[in-house]
Amino acid sequence: MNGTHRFWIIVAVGMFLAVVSVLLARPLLLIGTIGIGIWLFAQQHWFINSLMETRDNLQIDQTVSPDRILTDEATEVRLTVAQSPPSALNLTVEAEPPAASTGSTGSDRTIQFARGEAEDETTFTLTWPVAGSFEFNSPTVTVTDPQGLFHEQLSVDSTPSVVVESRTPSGTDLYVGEGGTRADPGFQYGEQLSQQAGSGIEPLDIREYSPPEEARRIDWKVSARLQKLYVRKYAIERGQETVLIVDHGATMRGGAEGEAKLDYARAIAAGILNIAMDLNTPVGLYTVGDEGISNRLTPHSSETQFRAIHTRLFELQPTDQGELQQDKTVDTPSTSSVVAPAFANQAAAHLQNDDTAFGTQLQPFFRNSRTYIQRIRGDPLVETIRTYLKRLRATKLTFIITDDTARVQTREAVKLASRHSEHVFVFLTPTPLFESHELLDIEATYNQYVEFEEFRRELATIERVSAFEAAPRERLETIFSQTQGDQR
Amino acid sequence: MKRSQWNPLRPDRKEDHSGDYRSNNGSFGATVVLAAFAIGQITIIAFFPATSNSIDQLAFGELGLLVMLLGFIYYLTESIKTCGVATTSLLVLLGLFWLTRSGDTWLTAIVVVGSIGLLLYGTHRYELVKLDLVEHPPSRR
Repeated sequence: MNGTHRFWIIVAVGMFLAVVSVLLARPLLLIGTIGIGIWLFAQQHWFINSLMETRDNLQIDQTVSPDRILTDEATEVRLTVAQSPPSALNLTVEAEPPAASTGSTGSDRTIQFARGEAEDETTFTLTWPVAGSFEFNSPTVTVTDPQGLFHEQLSVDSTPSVVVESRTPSGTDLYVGEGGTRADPGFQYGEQLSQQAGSGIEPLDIREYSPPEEARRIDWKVSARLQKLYVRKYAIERGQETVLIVDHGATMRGGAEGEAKLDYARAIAAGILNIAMDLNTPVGLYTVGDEGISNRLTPHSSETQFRAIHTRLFELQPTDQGELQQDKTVDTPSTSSVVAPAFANQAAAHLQNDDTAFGTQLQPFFRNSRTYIQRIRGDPLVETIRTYLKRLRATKLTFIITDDTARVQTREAVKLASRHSEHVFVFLTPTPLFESHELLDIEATYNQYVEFEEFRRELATIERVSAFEAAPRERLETIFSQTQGDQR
Repeated sequence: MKRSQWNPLRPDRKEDHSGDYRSNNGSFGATVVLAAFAIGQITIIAFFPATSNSIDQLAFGELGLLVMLLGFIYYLTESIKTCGVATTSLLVLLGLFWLTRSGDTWLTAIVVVGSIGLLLYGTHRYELVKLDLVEHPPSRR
């Protein structure tokens, strides 16, 4: 409770009487001070009682429609205030939308109640330029007494939230495949998970036995009862975890707005998350920028976790171009023959003291390998996998979503991930298909795409690794149709 | 964008509330009553010099002013509880005044002003606790 100017003027009058009583040595004037003090006290007492009643009787509701939108779209917010019985105090209720929203003024969001008014409402529109999940603050209720002596601010819980999603490529634009052939990694992922069925403890369902299956899975009691061979399915073992590793380095900025590499990466990650949610599988998220890991959510299966991953995914922005690390250089396809870092390290050490013609000839090549090893060691994606993936003890299905710019590092990251995972799914966004708004030189783009495809295939040859391309379908079709036409 | 505006001149605003009369005119009335009370105090001092023996008349004048004040408090708040609390507090303060009036005036003034200050500040703190508005300093941990 804060006193207004009027309150302090009345206090000053009371003090004036007290000072005059001292100066004139007339204690009787202090009765005037007492009277004014009692007046203020009575008003204060009444204000507090009315305030408590008001707080108990006040109902504030904020509704946002729609509550899930895309960036730069608008939502309508309705603030409704009702009090029964009406308060004896004057109220001003102001909605407090998140700072990320724009388009409303203070007067749009404010309801003023005079003493005795029972209900009122206001509607205003907000636009949301930034992606993310935003919660409204509690509306601010400013209460004043009719005498204008006091004011107080209350906050009443009504905090709706809005999820603003980045503009991502639609399902028809997103092409996921292997070498120009459409693939369904979601199905493969589901298969991988269902292979785990049977290793769990909790019985789930029964299904008919199909021959190549192991006979020990047959549930003989059920089979005897139903006169057919049946297999009992068990819930997926709790240890099975899915790990999403999403690259959001500066190179993921490539492409038009809403159709950048990161938008495709986000769409894929969201799709995997949806499958994991359906199967209630523990999912973790690691996002990697050029400066290192930016989000770390260890695998867990709960509504909160799924929502958190979804929110983080849609909040992801590519690392600022200025922060782009020197190390993250674009590799040429010739690097596909580079040896493993451990071997390169050993060979370089061995050759250092080799003065033979053979050794002298080979030394320069392995000197270059040192640069390679250093580059690998500094790469955030590799370091994230090295540091965090092996800490997770449970069996893992790992998804790496990145582009093809840093091929050496990506290869090493995938190899590392395959060592610590049951299976690794790699999704690569081909840089040539994101480079400019228009495909000007189709043949050059096609050639670059072929190099990309070689890299993808190389990754797919690593044990327990499936590699896919994620690209704009229309562009891919354009370069294929054009080059096929030329070949004819 | 559609929003309903509160219009103080809206004729349908006054449905049943005599309180509206109080809210519109109460602050003006309160100013008049308080001014009258303060002027009344000075007038009493002026009419009854320090050497005056007309204690009955003096007490009658003071009582009249205080009753006017309490009456107006009731008129504004319509709360017997508030009036009762105000009357009790008034009697306590008058008692303190009576007990200390024979000493130095400045001492009596300090007791009276201090007691009123304590009463108002105590009520303020009570409100903060009751409405859970106490601001806790951020934890160091």
